[in-house]
Order: sequence, then structure tokens, then C-alpha cells
Amino acid sequence: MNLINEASPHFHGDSQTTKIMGAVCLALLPTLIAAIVLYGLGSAVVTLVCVATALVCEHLCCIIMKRESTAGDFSCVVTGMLLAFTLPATCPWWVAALGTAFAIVVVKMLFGGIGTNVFNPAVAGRVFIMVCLPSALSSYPDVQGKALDAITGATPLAMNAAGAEPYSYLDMLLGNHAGALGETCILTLLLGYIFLLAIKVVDGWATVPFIATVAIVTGCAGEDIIYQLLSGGLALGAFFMATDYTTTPMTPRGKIIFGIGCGLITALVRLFASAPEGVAFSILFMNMFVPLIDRYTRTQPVGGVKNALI
Amino acid sequence: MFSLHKTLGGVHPPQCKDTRDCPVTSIDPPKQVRIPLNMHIGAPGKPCVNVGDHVYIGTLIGDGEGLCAPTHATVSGTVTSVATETLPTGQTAPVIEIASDGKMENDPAIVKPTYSDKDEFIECVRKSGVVGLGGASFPSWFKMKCPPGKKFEFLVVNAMECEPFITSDYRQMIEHSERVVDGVARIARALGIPAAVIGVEDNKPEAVDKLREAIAEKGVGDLVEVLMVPTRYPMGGEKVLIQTCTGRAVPAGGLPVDAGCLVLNVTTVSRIEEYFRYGVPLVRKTVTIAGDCVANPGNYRIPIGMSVKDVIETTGGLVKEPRKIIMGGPMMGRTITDIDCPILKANNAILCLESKAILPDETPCIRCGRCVRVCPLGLMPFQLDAASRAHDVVKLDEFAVMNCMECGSCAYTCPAHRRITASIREGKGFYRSESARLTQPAKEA
Repeated sequence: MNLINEASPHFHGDSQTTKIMGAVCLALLPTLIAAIVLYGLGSAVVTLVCVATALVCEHLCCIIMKRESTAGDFSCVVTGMLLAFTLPATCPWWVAALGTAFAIVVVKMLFGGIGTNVFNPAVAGRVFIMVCLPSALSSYPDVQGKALDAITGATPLAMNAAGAEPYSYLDMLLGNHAGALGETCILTLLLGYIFLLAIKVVDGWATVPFIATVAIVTGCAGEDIIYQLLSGGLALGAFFMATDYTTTPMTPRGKIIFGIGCGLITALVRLFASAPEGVAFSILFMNMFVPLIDRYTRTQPVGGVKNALI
Repeated sequence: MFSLHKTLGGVHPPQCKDTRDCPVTSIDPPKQVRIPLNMHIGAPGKPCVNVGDHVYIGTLIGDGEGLCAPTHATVSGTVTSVATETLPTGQTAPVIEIASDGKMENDPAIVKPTYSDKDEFIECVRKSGVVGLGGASFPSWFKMKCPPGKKFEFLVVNAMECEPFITSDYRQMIEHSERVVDGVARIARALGIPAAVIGVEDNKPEAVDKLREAIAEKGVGDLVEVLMVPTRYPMGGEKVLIQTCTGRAVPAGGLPVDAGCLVLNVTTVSRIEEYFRYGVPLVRKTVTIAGDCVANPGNYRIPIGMSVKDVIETTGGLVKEPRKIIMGGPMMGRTITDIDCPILKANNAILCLESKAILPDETPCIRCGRCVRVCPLGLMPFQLDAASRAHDVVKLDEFAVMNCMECGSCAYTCPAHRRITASIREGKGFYRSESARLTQPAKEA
């Protein structure tokens, strides 16, 4: 008999990185479909370019770094999809590809790959495009039907800053206005998030304080709370980016601090800064504090600790 | 007076307790047994028989001083070999080989033990050879000696049996409920413990009913209580059990007595009571034999020292070749590669598995936090895993590596299939030697 000698435990539950990341992709799918309906096939092209670039970059990096390829675990697919969702459907393909390559190679793989990156790759990729290729993000196409050709429309937050309020809450909920391809349809984003909550892939410890803080701060400043919550990248950021495992704190207490920090920065940028939207900046900013937050929000061992050395 | 208290974390592995309705049956006695003298935590015993001696069931064959438990012959026959061997666990100890004469006669010198005070009672428990039969194998008599300045306020009986597959404790409660209850009452009275609780998971309602009936019948309701707790692994972990039943936490580096508790496994209690009733020391063990490779899964009463190979053959053999044979449950049990190794006092299951036990390869940690959520002791397993692999003794100290009881919940739940528990176990060994070295005053050159 050829028996295996191995340390316990000998059983394993059915959780698996690939399944988790696959579930996130699945949760993002309704929003992609909504984007195609709203902004045309351009949405599909941009998403496809981002996902393909992410897969190729991750695989090549693993080869160069002489380690087993992690391209198959769907984590880079999630990054590609999330990044695409923050871009306009008319974004040139090379801009999308460049942004994704930066996200995967510099932000993810140079920091050690899955599980060790400090910043959320998708958010960092988006900010990279915003800073280095601002012209690609200067205009957002309006939804199909309102104009046959992709005609530039004003995003709700830009209009809000200009003092106008032309969109109804329903239009905001359904994404029936100009914006990044995967940010506008709040309904499908919420659907995806609820699905992830239901299968316990994510929790609400960061998401709820994030959204609540934005509501409270903008509400105190006299803004229309519902309009604030339904506009910009708040839903995408709070549902899918503030729930990323690697770049957010580990414990519920830490996640609450992270969420409040994100909400505060988002609200302050919206109210006072020159840029109309602050979700991406707020997440990147709070990513930096994760090691610190983790340090001060550790779990307490049952029965205390008996240190021999410190 | 006992009520349910909250504990952290835990997991729900598939129960696989298909043998729960299999009554304990005896098997054909083996032709030969090989009995190691270190079937307990502590110093191995010294042999007190020689080659050629005739022994009966229950004849003392090895004993020692201090933290040790006596060992008895488990078949009647002739001692054929007394030799020091290295066992599969890596330890070295004397092993006594006895060839059976097939008569299975009890030692005629066996008498029913009597005691008049606490110390005599503990000495009797010592002579019974009983050790922690839930798997810990700590000599029971040693536990009962309360250190000066401390007090046992509760006797906590561990009847959780939270590991998948194993049903031997369950059968003990179903078939010998009155013996269990008598044993609990006897130990509590003898040691002057005012309250005793038997903790049972709620997947064993029949056992709870049987025990409660027995308590009512014996009229010991003011002393012994049964507490039904939610089914969740590792409810049977000593620290978790104490916290669940009493709400107290065992302090880091401390023992159950530091929380005022004496913890004994339900089968341990039953065996101690058996000894006081009949005088026969621990010579047989009820073992659950299960797994997808076994022809006749069930609960069998097996003489200690019988080889795993003989046990499997005598109980009907295998239907397919196992990839893993586990002594104990799948969460904390130990694999064996040599099926000639003997059944030990603390063995409660033999699992022969083909497919279920093959684990996928490790992938990188994604910091999902599942291990932190399921840790019943509030540790951060992913940090301990990283510190163990990096041999970072300061980090191990900071994150309380020695608090870990190696229950396996973290590795069970890890989506990256990381061998967190195995790595922490190694980390504990490293920490033990390294912290001893670092805290020792520097030796003069």
C-alpha cells in the first residue's frame, strides 16, 4: 500500500480562490450587460481589451518572475473588468490596454502579485489614465437612443457642480445618463453586490460605513443625499472596490475605519475639490493606511497573550 | 446552573457519522499484540515483565514514576519480546510483544478497588491505566491532582465528539449512559467538585435523552447536568468546551485548572467507572472504523496493541486501496504509513480514505480573512502562517503562537488551500526552542 503521510487537517471545505474570483466576475456580469444596452458594443470592446490585457500581463509577469502562473485564478479578470467599468465606452483601446498593463504589472505584480499588492490595481489603473492620459477621460458618451452617435453628455456630478439637476432618481438608478460604462447602472451593481453578500464572498463592514459617511457628510452640507448616493463611482467603489480582500483591512473594526475614511474623503472631494469625483482617490488613499489599521485592529486572543520575548 | 456561552469562530465540516447506529461489537482476539509503554503524555513506562513470562489480561507490564501511566497486558499469553523501538511518531519507547494463548483469561489477581479518601481515589485512577481517551492521552490521575492554591469548581465532561466520522463516544453514551453518569458523580464526589456538566453537541439528541434519563434515575440531578450545545467544530477542543460551558477563558499558557475546571472525556469517565466496578484496567478500546475503503464500517471493541492491519483484516478488510489511513478524525488525526503499527489507548478511530483526503496544492494567500473569522481562539492564523514560514520568532511571540490548539479550522476554510495548521505546528516547535534560547542568560564563553 502506498499511503500518503500528511499533517492534519485532512479535510478541506469547498472554498477556493478561483471560485471566489469567478463569483465576483459573475456579479459584475449584469452591469456589463447593462453597459452594452446603455452605451453600445463599445462597452464590450473596452471590457474585452482590459480583461485580455490583464490576463496576458499577469501570465507574462509570472513567467519572468519564475513562478507558477496565477493568471488562471480570475483575479486579474476581476481587475480588468473593474478597470473597464471606470472608463467611458468610447475610450480608445490602447488607453484601456495601457491602463490595465500599468494596473497589473506595476501595481499588482511588482508588489508581489495576488495577496500582497498595497493598492487596488483597478483603481490605481484608472487614476493612472486620469493623470497621464486625461484627454481619454475628458468626455463621456451619453446613452444610446438619446443620440444615435456617441455624443458627449454631462455626468450627473459635473452637472451638479454646474448647478443643474436634470436627471430623475429613476434615471440615476437605471444608469440612464452619461458616465463611465460600468458606474451608472446602480441597480445591476446592487444586484451583483447582494449576490456576493448572499454567498458570503463579501461583507458589509466597509461598504455600509462608506455609503453612510458620504450620505451624512453631503447631507450636512445641504446636498441632495439620494442624488449623491446614486451618482459617480460610489456604488461601484463601495460594492466592489472597498470589499477587495487584499487591499482592505482584515477585521470588522478595521473595515469600518476604512469605510468611514473612504466616505469622508469622497464627500470632501465632491464638496470642495476641483475634481467632481473622489471615490477612486479615497480608496487609493485609504489603501495606504491598511497595514496601520490592521496593526491597531487585531483580534484579541482568547485567554490573552503570554509573551516571552516582548 | 450551567448555560450556554458564546465562543468564537468554528467551521462545519461534513459529519460523515454513518456508523452512529452501529453497536459496539467485539472482534476475534488477535494472535499477537505489541504494546508500547508510552501511550500517554509524559515519561515512557519501564517494562516489569521478561521474555517467557506468562501474562493474563490486566497483568501489569510496565509502569514508571512521575507523569506516567501504567500499562497492562491486553491478551493472555506469553511475552515474546521486550525491546526498545522507535515508533512511527518518532518517539523511542519499550515495546512489549505478547503471543496470545487464545484463552483471553482475565488476571485472577484482579480485585475491585476500594478507596476512602481523595488521594487513594487518585491512586486507584492511576492504577486503572486510564489516560485522556479523547485523543490527548494525558494521564487522567495526574490531571486530578489539583495544584496547591487552586480549586476545581467544575467537572466538565467532554462528550462533544465534534470530529467527522467518529462515533465511539456516542455509542458509549447510548450503550452505557448509566455508567457514564455514575462515573461523573463518583469522580465529582471523590474530588469534592460541587458541580459537573456533560457537554453534548445537538446532533446527538438521543445521547442527551439517555444521559438525562440516567441522571433522573440515579437522583444525581443536583450534581450532574447535561448541556446541549450547537454542533460546530471544534466544540470538543478543551478551551472551547470550557468557554462554552462556563464562560471562562483558560489563560494563555495556563491549564484548565486555572479556569477552575477539570476536563475529562466521556469515554475516559466511563472507563474509570468500569475500573471501579470490576477492577479490570484499560485493556480494550472502542474504535470507529470508517471511510470509503472499509468493507464493514462500525464500532469495534479492540484489544490495545493489536495491529491496524489485523484490525482491518478481522473486521472484513478493504473494498479498495486507501490513499490515506488516519488514526483519529480527519481534522486532527495523524496519518500512518506503516499498517503494522498498534492501536494505542487514545486511538478512537481508524479512517481509510481514498478520494476525500487528497488536498489540492497551495496557492498564494489572498488575505480574505476567513482564517481569522473561523479561529475559535481569536488568533490571526495567516499572520502566524507567514511568521512560521519566515522563522520570525518575534512575530510568532507577538501573535501568540502558543495559544493555538491546532484544531485545523483555518486550513479547512482557506480558499488558497494553504497548510496553515501544519505551518503553525512547525512554528510552535521553532518558537519553543528559539524562545528558550533567547530568554536564557547568555552563557560565558
